[in-house]
Amino acid sequence: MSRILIIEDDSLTREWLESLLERNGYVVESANNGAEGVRLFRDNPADLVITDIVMPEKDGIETITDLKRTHPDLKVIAISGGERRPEGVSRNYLHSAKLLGANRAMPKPISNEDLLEAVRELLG
Amino acid sequence: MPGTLRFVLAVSATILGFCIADAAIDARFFSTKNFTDELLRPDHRELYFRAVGCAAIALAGFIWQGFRRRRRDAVEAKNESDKLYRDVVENSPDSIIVHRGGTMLYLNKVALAYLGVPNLEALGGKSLPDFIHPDDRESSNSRRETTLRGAPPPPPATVRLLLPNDQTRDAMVSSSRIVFEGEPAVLTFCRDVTDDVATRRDLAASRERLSLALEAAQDGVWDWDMVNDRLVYNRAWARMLGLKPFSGEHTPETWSNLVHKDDKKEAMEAAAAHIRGDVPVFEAEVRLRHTDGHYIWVLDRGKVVERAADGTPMRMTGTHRDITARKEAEIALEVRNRIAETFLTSTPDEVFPNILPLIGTALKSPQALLGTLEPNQKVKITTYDRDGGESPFVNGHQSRLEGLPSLFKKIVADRQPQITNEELIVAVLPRPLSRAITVPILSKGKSLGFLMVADRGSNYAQADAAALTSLTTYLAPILEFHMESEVKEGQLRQAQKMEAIGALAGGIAHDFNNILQAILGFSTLAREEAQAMDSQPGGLIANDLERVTRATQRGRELVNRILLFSRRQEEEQHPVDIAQVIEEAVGLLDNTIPATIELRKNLETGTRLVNADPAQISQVLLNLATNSFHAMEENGGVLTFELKSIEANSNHPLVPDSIAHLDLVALVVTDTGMGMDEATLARLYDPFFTTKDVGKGTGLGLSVVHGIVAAHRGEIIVESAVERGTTAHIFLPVIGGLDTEQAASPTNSQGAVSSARIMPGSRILFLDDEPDITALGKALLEKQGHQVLALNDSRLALEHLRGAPHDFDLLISDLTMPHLTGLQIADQIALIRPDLPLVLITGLNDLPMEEYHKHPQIRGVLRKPFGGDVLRETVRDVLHGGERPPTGEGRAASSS
Repeated sequence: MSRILIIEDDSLTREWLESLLERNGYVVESANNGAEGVRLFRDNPADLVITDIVMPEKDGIETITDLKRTHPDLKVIAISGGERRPEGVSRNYLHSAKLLGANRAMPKPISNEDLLEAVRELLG
Repeated sequence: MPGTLRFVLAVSATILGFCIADAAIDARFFSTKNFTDELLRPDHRELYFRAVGCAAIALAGFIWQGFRRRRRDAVEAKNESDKLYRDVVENSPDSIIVHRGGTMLYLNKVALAYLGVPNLEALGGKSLPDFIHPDDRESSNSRRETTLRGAPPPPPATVRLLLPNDQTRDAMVSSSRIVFEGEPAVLTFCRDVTDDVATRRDLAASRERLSLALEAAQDGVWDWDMVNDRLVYNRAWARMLGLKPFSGEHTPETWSNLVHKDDKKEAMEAAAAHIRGDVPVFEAEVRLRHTDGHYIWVLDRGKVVERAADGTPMRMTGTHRDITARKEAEIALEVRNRIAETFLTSTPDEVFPNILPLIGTALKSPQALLGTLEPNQKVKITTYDRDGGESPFVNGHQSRLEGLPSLFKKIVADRQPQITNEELIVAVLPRPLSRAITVPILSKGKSLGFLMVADRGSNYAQADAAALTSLTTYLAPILEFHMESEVKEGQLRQAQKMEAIGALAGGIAHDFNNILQAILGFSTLAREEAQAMDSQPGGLIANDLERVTRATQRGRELVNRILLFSRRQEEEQHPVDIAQVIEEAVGLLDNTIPATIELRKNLETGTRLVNADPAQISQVLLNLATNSFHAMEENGGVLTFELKSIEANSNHPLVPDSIAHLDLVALVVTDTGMGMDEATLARLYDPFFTTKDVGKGTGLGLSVVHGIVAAHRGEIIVESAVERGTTAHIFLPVIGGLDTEQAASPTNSQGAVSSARIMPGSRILFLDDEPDITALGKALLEKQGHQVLALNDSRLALEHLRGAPHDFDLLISDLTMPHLTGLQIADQIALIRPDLPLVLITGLNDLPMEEYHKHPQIRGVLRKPFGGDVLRETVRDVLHGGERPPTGEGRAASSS
């Protein structure tokens, strides 16, 4: 049973991911922000991390960097809610996320199918 | 005693003669009515008459005494008296002639010399009338006869004499009756006054000239008899002030009553200084009140012309010159300078309140009012009340134009000054005005506002309207400046607003996408649940939830549209498919442009990528479209977007020389609107230039367009004619396109260019999950001389590339494939062989714009369906482009 860690500050998105993934048979753990996510991962490493980019405290970029440092092969899906000032920042974030090793960078809103497909591909 | 008696008698006779002559002179003097004549009459004439009179009477007395004495005492002292008479007569400086009935009986020495004869006999029988000018003979005869009869002697007269050598001389003659050699005869004294007469004639002529000159200059002349304190003046002096000429007695009081109180002191001091002798001439510029109440400016100059022996001034005379026009011009200039100074030293809000008092003062009006037409169709009223009257509005009071009093509306509409010299009720003013002038403020035929001055004590004249109008010419540029800065301020506010909206949109988009995410996600989950529960797949709940999902998609598009709208600057340029940008823009316009405007697209397929900022290109398109929309707003029309390729040196008539050597794409936006005239076209890119009504455009649009196009190293050409629509051609250089200036080929001939472009024998990896497509692509490319490896599995292709990264000069890959997408392939290539060019095969809209700038490997895009020509050209262009960078190994490999 693959374990997936969701790091997302937006509660609705978080709940959606939890519902979708649990219904599809994954074991899901959730964090509100990057710092909490990294802590949870250290306690109990997941097979896949789905992380938002724009978050308070520790953003997705730092989170990915942290996680990849200790777990270079970790599969990561970066998601983002789109632009936020300064303009175009999240698009660059998504790009940066990919450069940092995120396996997928997906702009919200993401269809259930696309997300599941990405998860399945990454988890094999 | 006889000596004493003679002396007494002589003295008495002299006094009598003097009195007679004086009486005659006085009678003549006072008979002179004309002041100027009197003024200019030579004093020496008077003296001369007195002298002649005295001498004549005294001499007559002497002679009479002589004859009486001879009768009484014939013997006594005869010799003595004879000698005295002879001496007196012979030595007289005047000619003395004794004659009777025209026959000359005696001539003294001077007379002989005068008539040009040595002695009486030498006259040869010539009588006295022979020496008199024919015109004067009759009067002369009558004088002689009158005198001979013993009547009172006629007054001295001037007679013209005909002398030898055809000389005509003027002589003053004075005659009296005597007894000569026992018979009555006429004794005539004769003095040559030819020179005096000439002088007099000259004087009369110069007097006439002076009078003409004064008349021509319309100068007034005044003459002040300081002894009697009487002031006399000429016609022009009176006319200048609206006075009746020669109306009653005048004293300098008349003048001082007319002088403006502010000028009086200075003028009086100047006059006093001159009278004291401190300055040679009195001169002052004074305002004098015209009888109709207004003041005229007068240059008053004068001089004391007569002083008593002790220096007391007796008489002063001078001129008045009307200098109103010059003075007003001077004042206008000064006001203009002060307006300029005020403008420079005041804050924007203070400018008009500070300038109005200057204008009021210049027109001597206690009230002034300025109405400025603001860009927002309102009129801003600024007022000035010298006496600080209460005003119902504060400066800056605004009103709509249509709400203004009709007077102002009329001025704005008719653009003609209006003078009202009667009570005037203006709705915006607290009280009726006694009189007013209102003039329009115009600039280049455009009404900028109006200016009014009012409540002056005297009536306004045309000259005042002219003065006020001339002031408006100084005000107009200030008004324009203000309006412009207000417009600019408005544009700045607009820009700030846009920035705020942009920031807001960014924030909203982020959160809104999260919301959409939840809706999309949960509605999909719910639909799946519903489908599982419903016995049939098309169940009602599932259908409804499907609609929710679709609505979510639309919400997402909306967010993207807002972002596109608010996005202004992009960080960097990257390879962009202009066709796709146009598609996006047209999609956006479709929803916003009214149905009366038909949108058309004519996009050439397979145009090459342009290194561009798609957001900026969108902005260019939207700006052009907005202009076109406004041009067609009233009557509708067609808005067409075209995209086509233009080869280097193709002699396209519109491509500017600066980029003619480059391969280009032309983005053409055409409307069928009202078009523009040449003047408008000439100013098209001027920042803040706009022909649009307020609220329809900032005037920034086209200058921004121009700036963006320039930033893309492109050119924009706008063609337009009134009522013929407008076409904007934007030429942008394509990536890796031919640059014939830099091309290695030695010539620019067509053959050389063609050979440079054909790249046979390149090694191409063709990847698509559809075997039909790979088969087609391989066939087409091999026909063109390339070596093609066609693969249908992305993972397999990637393995191939990893194993032999330099086996290929070009990769052509489908975008959407199982396992690895075209973009993932691109990412991998970036790691394996960054310089391998990639051509992506895409559907119409499935390549997100932002993916381009992340993937510099993508050198071209093939949109399905594509034909052989497009494929060939794309491959050719990409391979050609691959030759450009220094690391162009693809090209090197192919030719090695």
